[in-house]
Amino acid sequence: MNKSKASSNLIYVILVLIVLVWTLLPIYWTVTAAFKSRIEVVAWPPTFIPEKPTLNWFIEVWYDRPNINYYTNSILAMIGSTIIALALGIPAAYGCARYTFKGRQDVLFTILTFRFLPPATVVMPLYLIGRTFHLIDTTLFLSILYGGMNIPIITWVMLSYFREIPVELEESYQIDGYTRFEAFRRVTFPLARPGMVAISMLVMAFSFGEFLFASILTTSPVAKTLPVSIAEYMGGEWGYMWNQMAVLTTYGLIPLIIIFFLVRKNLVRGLTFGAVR
Amino acid sequence: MRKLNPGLLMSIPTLLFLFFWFFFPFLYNIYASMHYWTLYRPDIQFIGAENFIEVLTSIDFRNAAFASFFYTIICFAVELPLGLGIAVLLSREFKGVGIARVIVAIPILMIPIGTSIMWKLLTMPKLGLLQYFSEVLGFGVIDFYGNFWLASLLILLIDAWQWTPFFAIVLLAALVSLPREPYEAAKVDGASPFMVFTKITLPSIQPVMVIVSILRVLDLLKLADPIFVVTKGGSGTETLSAYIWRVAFKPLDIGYGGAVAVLYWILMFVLANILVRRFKSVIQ
Amino acid sequence: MAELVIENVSKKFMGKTVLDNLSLTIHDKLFTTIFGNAGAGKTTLLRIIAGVEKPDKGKIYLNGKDITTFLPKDRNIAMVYQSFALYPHMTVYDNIANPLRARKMTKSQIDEKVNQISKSLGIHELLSRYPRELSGGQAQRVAIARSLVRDADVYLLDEPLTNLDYKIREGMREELKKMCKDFSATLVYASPDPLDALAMADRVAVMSDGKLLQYGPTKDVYYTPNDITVATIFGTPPINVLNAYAKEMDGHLYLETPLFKADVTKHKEKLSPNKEYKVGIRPHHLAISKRKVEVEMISFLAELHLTHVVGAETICYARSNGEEITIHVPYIYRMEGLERVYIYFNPEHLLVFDKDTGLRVT
Repeated sequence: MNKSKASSNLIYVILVLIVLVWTLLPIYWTVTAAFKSRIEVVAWPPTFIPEKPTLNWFIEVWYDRPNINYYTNSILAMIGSTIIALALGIPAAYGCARYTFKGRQDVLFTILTFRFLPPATVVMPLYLIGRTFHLIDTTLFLSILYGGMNIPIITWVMLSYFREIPVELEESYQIDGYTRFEAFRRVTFPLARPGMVAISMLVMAFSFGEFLFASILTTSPVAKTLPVSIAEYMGGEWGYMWNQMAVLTTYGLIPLIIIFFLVRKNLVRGLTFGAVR
Repeated sequence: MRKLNPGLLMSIPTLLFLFFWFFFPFLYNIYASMHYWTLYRPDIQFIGAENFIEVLTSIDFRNAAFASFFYTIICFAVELPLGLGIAVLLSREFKGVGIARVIVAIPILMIPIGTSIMWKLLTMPKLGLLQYFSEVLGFGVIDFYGNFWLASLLILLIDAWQWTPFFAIVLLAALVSLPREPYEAAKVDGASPFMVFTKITLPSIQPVMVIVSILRVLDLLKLADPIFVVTKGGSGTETLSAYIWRVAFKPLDIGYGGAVAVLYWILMFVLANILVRRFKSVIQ
Repeated sequence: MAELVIENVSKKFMGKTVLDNLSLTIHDKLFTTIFGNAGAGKTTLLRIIAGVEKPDKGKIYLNGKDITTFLPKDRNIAMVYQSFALYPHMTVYDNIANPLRARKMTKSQIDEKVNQISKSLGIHELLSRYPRELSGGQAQRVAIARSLVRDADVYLLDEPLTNLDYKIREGMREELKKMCKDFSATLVYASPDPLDALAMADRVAVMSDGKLLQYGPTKDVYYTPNDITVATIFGTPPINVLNAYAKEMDGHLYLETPLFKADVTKHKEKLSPNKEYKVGIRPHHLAISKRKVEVEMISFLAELHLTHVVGAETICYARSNGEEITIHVPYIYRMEGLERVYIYFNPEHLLVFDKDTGLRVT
């Protein structure tokens, strides 16, 4: 009995290690590429540990192109879009969760339909609209679009979370002497927060890394984002500038990892979309 | 004046917002698709369904549609079981499981373009680590970029690496929140681990699996980022999104692009409807 | 003074009528029970009184003021939910203090009141705990504390004892009645259990299918139910009902049932001969004897086939002439196999109902 348990444990450990290596290897490779010299990064055979690690790229990347702007723009778009998505997604979710009205199913279905929309199909018209309203090359435009693209998922997820919270709690709070809004703020919202945090993380990851809209709808460091910048290092006279791309990708991880760590506890509780029986 | 239901009131701004920024532009496509319209020329001519015919008869369009479906299917077929497997692995409490869970979640947070670049670096001929391993193992250079199947494999690798954790984390959360009683009862009944898994675990997390699967499938049909970076649509890897880019954006041919967009969207809509209807009972 | 008037209130949910033109006056400082089976409309009525539900038609008045359109927070009414509705993310202290905080009382005032009420309910040690750590009985006391801590005009309780253990339930009945007296509170208590009303309430309102069937002092409703529905649902074990036929014989009027004949000449004016009636006798008005009983009691033979001891009393099930009879005796009766016994009762306790309308005649 012990022997088989030990061997199954061993298999288990091996499997977990394989998963971890599979996950970490590309990241490791990128991060080390950021530390390698220009020649070493394309060396053959590839070096596992950078021979002469340098911080050069980490600094140069801020100077050779306006990456500071790009980075900031990405962060701003991320925050802006999350605010918009929550500001519009939560009321719709709450309204449909707590009230019944004719056409409620249709409203929900319509909101959901927007998730089927491939961004590539509306990029052209949005370009034209943007040109008309002088929204091209503005972070606002990106925030609006990213926010809009995420409203369906926020509505969907928050809807199921609100449904899970008994109405009686809100009613009892009102009977205690508060308005409906205060009941939402002090009871429903805190209880739904884990779900909100979880889905917001996904929204932020999406907005920060979005490429298609950013590449077409922005033209200058005023609003261009980090993903676009990374892609731009792909061509040109020097060929692929691996080092810079690696550095920027590494820098790109930081904001999201920080946020991730801040909200870890809320995340696991919030991730079942309220659907587990 | 009759009072509006507050729930409806709360939903209206959201609907208006979505209609204005996404539906209205899409109507633009419908309008444009029926005209000959490029941004290079100021004149627009109505040509009815001509664009549509051109699209439907274009081999590239059909290839792109095929590519979109193909990638959706293979990526999903890999990511779901893999994600489930990882979720099961990480659902047990062992020393360091917390760190393991965090590590596994990181790919979701990576910039997708960055991910694609990373994998490109790993697989470039005479450059990439994987090529090195392949040479050492005696396989020689793997032509990821000239061969449809290998290129598709690369796309699969990129997408799976980035998005399997999505399945894994969500399913993990579901597994972890399952009540313990059915398992204890099964133990008393003497059920094998396999039976426990298939008869108890899987049915319990089925709603979550369905939701997360539908989400991922819909997103896969829009696949674009890896194509742009890795193969630029070469070797037959061009998906519908990449196709629109090439055919509508580069030459600024809005008419043709509009037609593709309309057809693309119809495809998505029909499929999404089928999926949702089929699984409606499972989701709430 | 807290007088609650419910006037012609009607409510429909998805086409189904839940409350049908209900009118009721709840009197000050009395313990009133709203009694009815599941689906009778009790909870909906309470919710409308509290203000979390609006009636389709009708009005609610509190102390003469029309509060039908008032928000719950402006009604000065407290409610205890069947599920207790404790806020899971707040401590017991914060839960109880919540209504006081809404009224912007000072911290010391709140502190004093919370401590006072928690002591009198025996939950003082639980103040820093969270709802998920509490047992059913504890949670219920916290819910009650939260409503009592404030000075409300009316206290509504929606089946608060349903989720509790049987043992605790009996103790709580005593406590609730005591609370009503101690706090001079006006209590409205919804319950499907007749024992709740019988043990605690001053007044009972019997509801069925959204309609009010009878309202009055508990004893009156119990001993003189208006119709057969009230008699049947308000009482446990349920009242024994028999078919009866009125016959005139030698100048006397008798009601003949399959089991016995009752002389009802006294009530000649209210009954018509050659008419069919239903008669009812409550289980606890019946008694068992091994020998035939004389005196002015009506008795008949029956075969006892099951006894069920409840506490210090027994419910006995007997069969006679094809009819099932339930008897409730205030002592422990142990059966030795099937027994033939005499069942007897005082004819004064016999309730006569019109066969078709169900209205009580005597």
